[in-house]
Amino acid sequence: MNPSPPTPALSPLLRVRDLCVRHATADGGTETVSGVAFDVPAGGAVGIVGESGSGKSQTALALIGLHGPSTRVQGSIRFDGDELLALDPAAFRRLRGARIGTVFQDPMSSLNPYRRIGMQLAEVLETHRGATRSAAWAAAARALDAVRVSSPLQRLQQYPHELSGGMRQRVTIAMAIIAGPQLLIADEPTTALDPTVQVQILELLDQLRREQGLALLLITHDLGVVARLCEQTLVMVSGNLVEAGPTRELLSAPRHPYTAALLRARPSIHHPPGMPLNGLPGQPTLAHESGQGCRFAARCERVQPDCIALPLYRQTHDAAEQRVLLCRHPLRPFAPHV
Amino acid sequence: MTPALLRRLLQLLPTLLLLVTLTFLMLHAAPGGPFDDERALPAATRAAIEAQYRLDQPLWQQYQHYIGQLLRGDLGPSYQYPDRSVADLIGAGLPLSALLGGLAMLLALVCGLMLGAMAALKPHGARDHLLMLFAVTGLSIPNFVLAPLLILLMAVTLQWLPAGGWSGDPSQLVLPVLALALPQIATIARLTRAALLDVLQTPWIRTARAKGLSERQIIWRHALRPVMLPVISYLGPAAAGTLTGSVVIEQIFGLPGIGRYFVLAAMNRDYGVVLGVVLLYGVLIVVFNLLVDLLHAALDPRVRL
Repeated sequence: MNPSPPTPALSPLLRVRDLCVRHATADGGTETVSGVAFDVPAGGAVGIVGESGSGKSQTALALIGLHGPSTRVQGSIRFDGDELLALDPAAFRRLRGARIGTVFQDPMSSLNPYRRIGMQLAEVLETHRGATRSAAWAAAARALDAVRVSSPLQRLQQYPHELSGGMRQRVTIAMAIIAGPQLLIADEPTTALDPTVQVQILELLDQLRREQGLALLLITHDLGVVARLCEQTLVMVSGNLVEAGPTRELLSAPRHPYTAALLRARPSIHHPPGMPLNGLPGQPTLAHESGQGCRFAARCERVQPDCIALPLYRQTHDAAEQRVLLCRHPLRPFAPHV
Repeated sequence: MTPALLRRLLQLLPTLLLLVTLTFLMLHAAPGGPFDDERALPAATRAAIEAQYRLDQPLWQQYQHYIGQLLRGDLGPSYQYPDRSVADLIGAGLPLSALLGGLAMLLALVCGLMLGAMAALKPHGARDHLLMLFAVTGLSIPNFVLAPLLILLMAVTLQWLPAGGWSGDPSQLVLPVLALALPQIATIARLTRAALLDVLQTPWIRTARAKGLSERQIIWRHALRPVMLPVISYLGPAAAGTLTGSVVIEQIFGLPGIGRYFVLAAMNRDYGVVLGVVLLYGVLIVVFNLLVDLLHAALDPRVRL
């Protein structure tokens, strides 16, 4: 018998299959996420990488049911055994904040400027745990301490504008984990922050994951961020999941031309000054603009006629869909199935 | 806070002085005077009366005298009702005008906020369109049309409510309050709807949803304050205007408020009453604007006085 790769847990914490997100518009509808499938194991860390408009944030919003009213989500999202897409709104609401925490991109605007930090933290516990006000505020102070906010008791009385950006992002992280969720979704958690603060926030997320055993779904456009934090990485282009696999393997030996182009596009400290950066040529194809073919074809250096003419070609390397490739002419094909 | 408040109060004084000065000058610049009548008075009588009211003095002396009076807290005599002072006339009309205006603003605030919120919570639905149709209608029908329509319906046809007059019976206030409040309800509903729609789009409301709060918690805990801000900004000056009496409404419903005195006084060049009412209105405006600022500071932690 061949040694098989470590078998993933029988039922992962989050199991997404055939996820489609479609916005109703005047002229029919546009699909921003098409047939995305992935797993997040309990306590694991998965990253979704993609450029603006790739559908990564739409995926995150669909997972917590916060896509707008004119947006339809189809497919299957199983979280800890429950099918989220079949939940009624009240049940979904009880799940949000309690078992799935979310951190958004801009800490400047994702806290209510009119209310005290303490109230914004405490209300999560008052809502989900029926905690008394004093118990919730005490827990809020402990949560701020857990995300390394200095003098938490004073912070509780402060308003968001009195804190720095990094401090505010710590507060939103505290808000997302205060009820002890199993899954933390972080949508571009460091994009709006200074580089030094970015590193601190990433370290904090990694530490929380290890200490509290929560699973992390990290959404970013920064390959460096997933390299630092995530075991599994998914790459999205125009609503399609084009490559997925273990982060180290994916970054050291990318199979999809887009992943390879992303890696080349990273600015390096060794880059000669004055030389243009290795950006990707062209504009991202919007999901609804393309036909049945590959949505990266217009910008791909390896493009062949059949990439555009034929439907998408999807290759899965293992049963748990941990390694996926959506390309007819990859840089490296998967080894034949064992 | 307190020194800041004191400074703000002191800043109001030059505003009021400017208001009084401009009104004084404009009144005296307008042709005619308080004692120009269709029947010409004998020259001697006229000279005697004008001397009594100091109208024979140079303008700057009259001004000086009036300001001196004000500083002693005296609004001076009425030029048309020789036996009554301006303070008496305002004192007689203001309580009713303020009661009418106060009730109308209260009704407008409660109904406007509720209707605006109802419209915003299901935007672009049938309820929203119906409410906004009502709001536009309420805004476009002037109250001198609305008031007679209300009288026709409620007093003449249905005979539920008295058509006008004032003898202290609360039912006599219902129609004037309604007529005064309806356009304000419409305005406040529109302001509330726009503000609430705006707030519900913000990232921090999305955060509140991601925390699993119910819509009711989101509205009351997170959206109410920012929605109140534009409403309060509108309410301050609007309340000052409504409390000092609606000329038209008081006329139509035969209510003895100060609105009526004001119009008569302006027509008759009753310098004392016009200046007194303008000053009252000015004081209310600046005081209500100060209140608006104080409320803003109380509701928005980023605002400092």
